Order: sequence, then structure tokens, then C-alpha cells
Amino acid sequence: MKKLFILMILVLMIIGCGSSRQIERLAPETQTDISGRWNDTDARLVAEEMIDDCLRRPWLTDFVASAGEKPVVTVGTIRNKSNEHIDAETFTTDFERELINAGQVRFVAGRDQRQEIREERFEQQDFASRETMKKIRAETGADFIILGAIKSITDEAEGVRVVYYQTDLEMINIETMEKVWIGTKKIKKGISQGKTKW
Amino acid sequence: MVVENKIFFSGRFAGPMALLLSFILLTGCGSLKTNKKFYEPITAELQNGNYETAVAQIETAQSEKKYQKKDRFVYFIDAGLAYHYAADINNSNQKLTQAENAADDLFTKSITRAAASLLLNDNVLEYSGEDYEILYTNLFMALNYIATNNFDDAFVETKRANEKLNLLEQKYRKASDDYNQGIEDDTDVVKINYEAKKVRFNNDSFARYLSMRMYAAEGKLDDAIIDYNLLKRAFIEQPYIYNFDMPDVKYLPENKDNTIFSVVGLAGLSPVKEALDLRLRTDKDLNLVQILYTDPERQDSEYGHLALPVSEDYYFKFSIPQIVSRPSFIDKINVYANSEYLGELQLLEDVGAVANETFEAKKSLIYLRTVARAIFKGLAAHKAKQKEDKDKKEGAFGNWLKKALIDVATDISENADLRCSRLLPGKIYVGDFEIAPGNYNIRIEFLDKYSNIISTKEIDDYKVLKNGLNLIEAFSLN
Repeated sequence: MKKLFILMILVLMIIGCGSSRQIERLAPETQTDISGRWNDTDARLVAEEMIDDCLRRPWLTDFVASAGEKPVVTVGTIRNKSNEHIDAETFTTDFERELINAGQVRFVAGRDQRQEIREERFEQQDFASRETMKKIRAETGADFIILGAIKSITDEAEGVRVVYYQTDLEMINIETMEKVWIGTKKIKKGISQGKTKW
Repeated sequence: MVVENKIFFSGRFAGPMALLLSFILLTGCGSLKTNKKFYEPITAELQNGNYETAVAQIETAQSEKKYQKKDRFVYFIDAGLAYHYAADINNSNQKLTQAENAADDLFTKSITRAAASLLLNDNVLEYSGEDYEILYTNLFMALNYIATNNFDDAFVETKRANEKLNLLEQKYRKASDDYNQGIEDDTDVVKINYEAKKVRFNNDSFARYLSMRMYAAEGKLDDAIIDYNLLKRAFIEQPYIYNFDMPDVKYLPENKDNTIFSVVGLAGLSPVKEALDLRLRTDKDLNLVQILYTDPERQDSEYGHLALPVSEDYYFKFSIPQIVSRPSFIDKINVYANSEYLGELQLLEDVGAVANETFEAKKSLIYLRTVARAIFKGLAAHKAKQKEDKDKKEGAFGNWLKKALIDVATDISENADLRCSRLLPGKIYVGDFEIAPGNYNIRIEFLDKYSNIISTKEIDDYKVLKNGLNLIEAFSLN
């Protein structure tokens, strides 16, 4: 009976005890997988690998050969058709960064940023001095736009979940509508959750 | 304390009774009973349309620890719903996401709490939400995203809702296997075999409706038609949930110059869990355990029985949760555009029917767990009292006191787990009206059965687009 009582006290102490919080600073490029959901590591890996693939394909050399200059690219909408909330803005920024840093294409701002900058320029026409005012209708038009979607398939049973993400991107010639590159990056994650804890 | 310890641990009580009394002293009565009294002013404010006040009251209840840590799912869903009604979309999504994450995390069960629940009751377990609550967590987030024209994220929520429904049957089959395995492994527990009740719900009409309207708004008619057909199938294949006519929903206007204007109306409050008080009676000659009603109308009529070998004849009171609907005044919801009557909303989903169907599978498992515990506790109490009668060493008053303590301990410890969200709507109505694009003053009237207006929602200068999702939500929780 005494042993049982001690055991019970221990059980209740464990029920009442919460784990204390610990904080650790991590390098941004550290691969982290906590919940198993789509995270910054997935976004970064997809952006790096897909842009690397995109810039090694013949459309780039073909364009430079015919136009005599680097193509101008913009990133359009990358739709989230998965079953998780994915911050499209972070994802798009990753693509833009990889494209710009590669140095093989010129890059213009995306639709939302263009809109904001245009408003700024229009305001300059009324409020800025003639010497500093920026011209309207002097934007660099993009030659190509990247559009895409992230999709996912989930299989789940008894605390084990397998999620398959597929990111499809397409580079489309804005003038001719010609698709010059289609890339796909797949990620498969297995997430298991213990049935019991103390 | 010395006197109490002497009483509890002198060895005169049967071991399990001393353990039970000690558990109660150490955990405190608050963990043993569902705290629901604080909901009364909150639901009153919601029904009066004072949504911000209801939000503040929920946050106060949280800060005053009326929601314990083990009940965090309930807090998150309650707060998420209250913020939704108060049109605070960001906070609503944040809380509902936390509710969904809590439900996921609580898939991992605490062994210590499970052990405590075997002796006390299910209130000591961490509450991971009923399946219908988790389903509506996703669907309310979908409504939040629709309100901000964020279709991608709204689609995420409808997909998650459908995925969860697909997993329901598997979940309860597994639960029955685990229960039976646990019974086989534990020689001390009363052996009652359990066969999983089939979950007959895998297609939710509200989820289908929302995704149908969003696909149609995006011009993806093939996908909209797929969801329309799935919505139809929900009504055909699940008549025990959808025992009324399917509403006349639309994904395309008949006149190409027109567009669809949709209204989602939420009325009343969802059912809640209430205690069904029962009494257990054993018959050792017949090897029978009878479960009897205790309410005056049905007193001593049988709720159920189990053929089990029992060594003693005794009674034991216990209770199990049951889903009880809350009446609503709302009988009809009329929609007007520029003072012109557009039509009446039609019932799409009875949240009570969904709650009943999904809870039914779990209820039989709760019932058997509770009966097993009641048989065990009843026997322990009976034997402890018999021992006191036999020993009579403490004198008449001492023996009476000990027996009274045994009764109090068993009474305090045996409570039904009544935790649930009390803020979900009772019924979901929809109406798809074909009108010309343009600006309209919209009025939605919630009427009782005598055609009295209970509440009204008015939106002035609402822009109905030719292409896009023209969907507004209105609610009266009366």
C-alpha cells in the first residue's frame, strides 16, 4: 500500500510538472523540422534547386544569343493548392533572390510591388521637384514570367503521416505565350507522432 | 492531517478506496468536474449580439484559469469562434489554428493522466476535441479566409476538413482495438469487450458548398460541378444526418448577364454535452450488471445490461455524457436586396446531427470505460464499507464517518466529462440568389416561428461582382 501511495504521488507530480522553456539561437539556414509542416527549409530548398535547374536550361542561352542581352524576368503568382498554409510571399521572395543572385537574368518587381511603386511615381508627378521626379512609362517590361503552384497529397494512419509536396513552375514568354521551361520539385516527408507520453 | 492520514492509510480501508481518496485530495476537485457555469454570461452576450463583450469575457475566463491547461483546446476554439463573430479575422484564425494544433498534439496521450482517469474520471484527461468540433474549426477558418478573399487558404481549410472526415472510421476502429488490447493486458480491470461503432459520416455538405462556390468564383466550373455532385451525395448517402431536402445551391447563373449572390446564415447554438445520471446494479446470482436510469420519469428502467461474473451485490451511481440540443428561436431567414425580397435561406447542415453522429461512435467507448470503472469502484466501496461494518473498531460514529467518506469520495470522483465548445452555431443555412451585378443594400432578417424579427443584419452598398465570390455571412445565435 505504501509503495502504491508513493507511486501515486510520483504520478501526480508528473501530471503537475510542465517542461521549462529553453531558447536557442539558430542560423537561418539550419534545417529545422518540428511540426512536419511546410517550413522555411522547404521553401529555400525548392527555390534554390528549381532556379538552378531553370538557369541551366537552353532557353537562357537561346534568348541571349538572339536578343544579345540578358532576359528580363518577373515572378507572377505561385498558388498554394496544398493542404497547408504556405506563405506565398516568403516563397516568392526566395525565388526572386535566387534569380537575382544568379546574375544571369535581369529582374523586375512583381505585380504588387509594381502597383505600389507606380503610385509613388504618380505622386512624384504632383509633389516632387522637376529635377528629381521619375518618368512615367519608363519601366522595363519583362520578357518572361514565372508562374506556378504547390500541391500536396497526404496519406495518414495511426499517428503516421506522409506528405508529398510537388512544386510546379513554368517560365512563359510574355509576348509569345511560349512556355520555355517547366520545372518540378518533389519533397516527401514522413511524420510520426508517439501515441503516449508521460 | 494526521487524523485524516490515519483514517485513510491505516490499512482498514480497502486499498483502492484509500488510493481514490488520496487522488482526490491531491488533484483537487476542480480537475474532476467540468466547469461550465462561467459560460452563462458569455452565451447571453453572444445571443444579444454583443460579440466584443463575449470575447472579453472569454479572455477574462482564460486569465482567471477557468479554462485549465488540460482544457486548452476548448479555450482556443471558444476564443476562435467568439473572435469570428466579432469580425476579428486575424485573432479568430490565430486561435482556431491553435485549436487545430492542440488537437493534433493531443493525439499523444499522457500515460499518467490515463492512469488517473482509470480511477477518477475522464475530466482529468487532456481534452483533444470532438471530431465535429475539429471539423468546424477548419470550416470557420475557411469562412475567415473567404471574408478576406483569400481563396487559396480557404481551400486549404476545406481540404483539411475533408481529409479529417476520411480518417474518422479508421480512428474509431483503432480506438476499439486499443481498448480491447488494454483490457486483455490488464488483469485488474473489468473485462468488457467492445466492438467499434461504424462512423457514418465522411462527406460534409458545408465544406462541399464552400469549395463549390469558390471554384465557381474562380471560373473552374469542372471543379465546382465535382463539389456540387459530392454535396448531392452527402445528402443521398447520409440521410441520418441530412434528413431534409437539399437546398437549391447554384454554381452558375441561368442568365449569363447575372451572377450568384450567396448568403450563409448561422442560427442558434450547437448542442452541448450534459450528464446522463445512471445507476449500476449487480446481481451475483445471475452474473448480471444492470444499468438503470435515475431520472424521475424513467427511474429504474433499464438503460443497458452486461453479462459479467460479479462477486457481490451492490449499487453504484455514475454518469456519462450525452449530446443535448439547445432550442433556437430562429425559424426562418429572409434576404432582401434594395428592399426587394430575394428569398429565404435553406437548411444546409444541422450541426446537432453532425455532433450526434460523430459523438455516437465515441459514446459507446466512453460508456464502456465508465461502466468498467464504476463496477470496479463500486465493488471497492462496497468491500470497504463491509469491512467497516465488520471491524467496528472506531465506534459507531467513527464507522459511520468512514462510510460517509467512502460515499463522498466515490460521488466526487465520478463525474461525466462534459467539456465541449458551447459557441458553435446550431444550424447552417444557405441561399444562392441570381441577381444582376451592381451595388445593393442588403438586409437579412432572422425570424421566429411567429414571424417576429429576432435580429437583422444590414450591409449598405454591397458590391455584387460579375466574376468573383459574392458571399456574405450573417448569424443570430438565438
